[in-house]
Amino acid sequence: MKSMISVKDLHKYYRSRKGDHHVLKGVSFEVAKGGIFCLLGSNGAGKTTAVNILTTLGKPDRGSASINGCDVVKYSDRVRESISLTGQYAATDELLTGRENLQMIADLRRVENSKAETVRLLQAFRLEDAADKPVSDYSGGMRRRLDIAMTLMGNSPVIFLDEPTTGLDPQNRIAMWELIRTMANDGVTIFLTTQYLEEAEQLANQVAILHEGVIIAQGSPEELKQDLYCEETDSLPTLEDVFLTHIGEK
Amino acid sequence: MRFFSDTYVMFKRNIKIGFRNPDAFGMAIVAPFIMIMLFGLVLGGAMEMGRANYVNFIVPSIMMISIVQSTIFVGISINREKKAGIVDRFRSMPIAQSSFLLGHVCASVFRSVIVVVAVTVGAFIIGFRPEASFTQWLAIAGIFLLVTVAATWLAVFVGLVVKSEESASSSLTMISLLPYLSSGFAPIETLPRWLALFAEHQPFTPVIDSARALMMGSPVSNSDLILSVVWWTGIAVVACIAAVKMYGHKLAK
Ligand SMILES: Nc1ncnc2c1ncn2[C@@H]1O[C@H](COP(=O)(O)OP(=O)(O)OP(=O)(O)O)[C@@H](O)[C@H]1O
Ligand SMILES: [Mg+2]
Repeated sequence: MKSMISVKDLHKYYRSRKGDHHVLKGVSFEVAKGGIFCLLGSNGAGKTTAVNILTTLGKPDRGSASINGCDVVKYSDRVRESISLTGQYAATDELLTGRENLQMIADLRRVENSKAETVRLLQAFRLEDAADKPVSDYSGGMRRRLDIAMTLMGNSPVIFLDEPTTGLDPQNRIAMWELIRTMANDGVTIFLTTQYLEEAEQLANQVAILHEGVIIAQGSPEELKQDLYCEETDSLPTLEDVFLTHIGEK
Repeated sequence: MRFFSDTYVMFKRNIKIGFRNPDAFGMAIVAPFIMIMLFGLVLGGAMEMGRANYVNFIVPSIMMISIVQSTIFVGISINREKKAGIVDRFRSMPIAQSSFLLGHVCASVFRSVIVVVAVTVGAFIIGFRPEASFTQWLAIAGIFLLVTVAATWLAVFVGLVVKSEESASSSLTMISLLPYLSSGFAPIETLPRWLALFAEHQPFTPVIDSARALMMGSPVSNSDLILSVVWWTGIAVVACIAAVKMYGHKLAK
């Protein structure tokens, strides 16, 4: 299948007076259309840095990345046409209502039937009752849901979700997983980062573990488990074991 | 065209947010009003020129202070949106990239105009009695609009550069204090020498002097008018370029 996201030997430094901080040290992967790619890593691993480069917010220092065949640096305008991002930090307007937030994104993305689309997304994220309240009255989880609903407005073919389920309760997390699976079935390509192994195991058809700037393991959740099979315990390890083994803290 | 419609959406967004923040907006109107009362009514009587003349004398500088203070809101907003994910979201969307800043600037200028009009009405109630003709009023409006646009771009730049909302607010408050050190509250001749030197050469003084002359229907010095336009066009252009550069490159992760 054609790959929607293609990353080759990506390097990123953050320069400061104290010296360079080499955050990504040669990261490569491909994500097929309709795939769910999960970048797993602990705090400071470089997940957000990778998302920033892929969503045209940051520039790589070496290597290349392309979305739908367009280079993220050279053709950033065209890349923006096919992506939508939910960043790690909430991107909602506190003093606007949920409906107004969605309507604004619809206007910017020139969505047809924007009113109906807004209602559909409010329903999908169970925000109908709060639709006309200002976001400042929302709980953290409601805000997160609105944030993701705003990202889905306009049906972009590639969706980036930076730790989308952080702060959601179990019920809403499962609902979110359902929604992500449905989107992938519809052909949407999904790139998500998480610190939750369970989430990667549940959702992804491809997992990459990012540790200290390099991908130390990559494959389907099953493949990663196979890697570790037939060690002393004689059972399939959980992804958690895989993760801990690879980052060498076990 | 994409550019106009995106800027319009952003403008609408900021207008809504601005008016739902009645505290900030109310303060921008009430604070200058209180200043006119304090200076004009309380201190004015002690002035050689008399209370009535003193109110007329200080209105231009009060206007300058209210213009700068009314831009604090946009500086704070932009700083907050930079730190939250809002700027990132817009930067990753297929929209005219200049629309975010321009929408902020247009909405902020719109708010400032309302503030200035409200403060003018307030000044009338307290005893401001201008004698300007219609064309003189047009000239005043033109200069004030130029100062407003420049101050707004400056506030946008400050909001993008500083680390916290508090420092955005305090740096812009500092700028709003500059008209105190001008010809705004006392004739320059009465100031101590070093202060007079600063007052004579700072950008608010020519605007205040021209506006005062225009308001009172007295002859305006051409050099004041030219200096006003040169200073504030310069500030507007530099702040605008710096803000756009900052938004385009420095915010890159
Ligand atoms: N703008 C920046 N300037 C300097 N250093 C940065 C910058 N952004 C990130 N870093 C550093 O780069 C490293 C990776 O950061 P990044 O945000 O990509 O991690 P992450 O995997 O998303 O972590 P988390 O799970 O905490 O979100 C960190 O050590 C961080 O301190
Ligand atoms: Mg992160």
